[in-house]
Amino acid sequence: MEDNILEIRGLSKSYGDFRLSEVNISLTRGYIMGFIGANGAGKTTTIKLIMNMVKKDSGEIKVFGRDHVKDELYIKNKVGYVSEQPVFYENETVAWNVNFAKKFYDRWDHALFEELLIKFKIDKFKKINQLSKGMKMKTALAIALSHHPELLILDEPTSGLDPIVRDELLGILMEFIQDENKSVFFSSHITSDIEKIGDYVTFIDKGKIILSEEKDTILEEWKIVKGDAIQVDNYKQDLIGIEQTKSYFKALVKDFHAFKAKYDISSLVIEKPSLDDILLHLTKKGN
Amino acid sequence: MIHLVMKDFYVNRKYLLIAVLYLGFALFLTDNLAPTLIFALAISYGTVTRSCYNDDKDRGGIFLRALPIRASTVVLSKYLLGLTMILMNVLAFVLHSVIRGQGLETDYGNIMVIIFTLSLVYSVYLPVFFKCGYMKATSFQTIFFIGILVISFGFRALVDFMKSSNPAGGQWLAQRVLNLAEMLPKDSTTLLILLCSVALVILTISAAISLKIYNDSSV
Repeated sequence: MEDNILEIRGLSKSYGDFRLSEVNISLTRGYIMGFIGANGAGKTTTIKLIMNMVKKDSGEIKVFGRDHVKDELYIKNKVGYVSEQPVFYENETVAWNVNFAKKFYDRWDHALFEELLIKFKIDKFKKINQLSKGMKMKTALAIALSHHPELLILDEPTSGLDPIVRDELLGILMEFIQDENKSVFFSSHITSDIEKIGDYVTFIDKGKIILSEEKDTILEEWKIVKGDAIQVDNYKQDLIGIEQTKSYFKALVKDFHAFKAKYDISSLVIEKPSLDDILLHLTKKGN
Repeated sequence: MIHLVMKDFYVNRKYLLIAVLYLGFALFLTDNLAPTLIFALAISYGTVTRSCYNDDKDRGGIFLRALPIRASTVVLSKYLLGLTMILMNVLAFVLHSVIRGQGLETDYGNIMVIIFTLSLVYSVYLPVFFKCGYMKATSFQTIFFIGILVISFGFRALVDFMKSSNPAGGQWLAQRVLNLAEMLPKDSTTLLILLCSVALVILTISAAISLKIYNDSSV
């Protein structure tokens, strides 16, 4: 079995003014990777490239150790994909959409699908256009899970959902990952969701990967430091995304242990950052 | 591929039911086949464009691309839908001849028009649909139809104009057209086979172009 369930090397794609450049991502089996970035940072493009919905300009994408174009059918049979706005034939019922989709999967498990419908409280006789956004998302997830995928690829699955449905959805992902052979790659700009369930975090900004690391390592090693504005020059070379007013400064420090060893930090206030803080400081102009 | 064609029939079921009932009524209860033929062509064109519309409207492109389906299967399914419509029309006209106790040759002309016109229409429409989507493809097709009409009527007007202003030139042009017509087989069965072959070549070229476009496109 391959080491990485998903491996992206030197991926590039240009779209008019937008350029996704030299994207490198690795995801091992048994983990959840959160893919964080602002709107328009390149999350959806990267996911569509993995799914071969968009043609890459250059680079390599391997899923289950296989080329994503040459072995597209093999890969799609083992991947569960859910887009930000789940796509179905809107005027038809849930049952019809599922009966259509299931014919293309080698390992479709209808009993599992029926079970998920009950669990998610989805009425299969309802037309898709009568479902709320949350119910559509759950339907898409039920389809994505019913062919026993080994990798779930979700594009902003929690965006626009109320906190209760969001929490339910995150619970489903946690349950899915209990089988250590399976992985989840999901994009979001709601960093708290990734903070809850992600094992690895990859940040993307303006088409470039700016950080890809284990979540706990990031949250342990990275710190927010605050201090008097007149002190900022003393630390400037090790600060990221400095926010400064006349009286104080606030910035991100990458390796806090090294920072602590290098400087006298007694006059600084040290805080644990959230992924949101890290994203904001990393994407700050001038970095 | 058959699942995709069945899906297209299913999402168009109401439209098709009304169209088929009307076509049946027109074919078997009236003697004037010219309007029936035009109607048959229109519903066949409509079925394919409506299936494209449904895919576009519901972003079916994304739905299909998320499923384990080959690009060639998606593209060829639209052509298979078109061919099915051609076959259904041909069968309706054959049935019409049989029920009316006429020889099949009576409907050869209509069958030829169905096969050739629909093949040409699908061959032009589908690559543009895969490239630009439903809205642009339909606008393009409208302009294409108008262009064909202008060329058809315009050519006749050109010959008439040349005959009056330059009789020798007009005569030469008319003769060239007649010579071309002379080259066509006289036997209607041979002509039908020839038209079917030409239609198949056009559809094959169009499908190859559509597949290249689909492979290079993004959703």
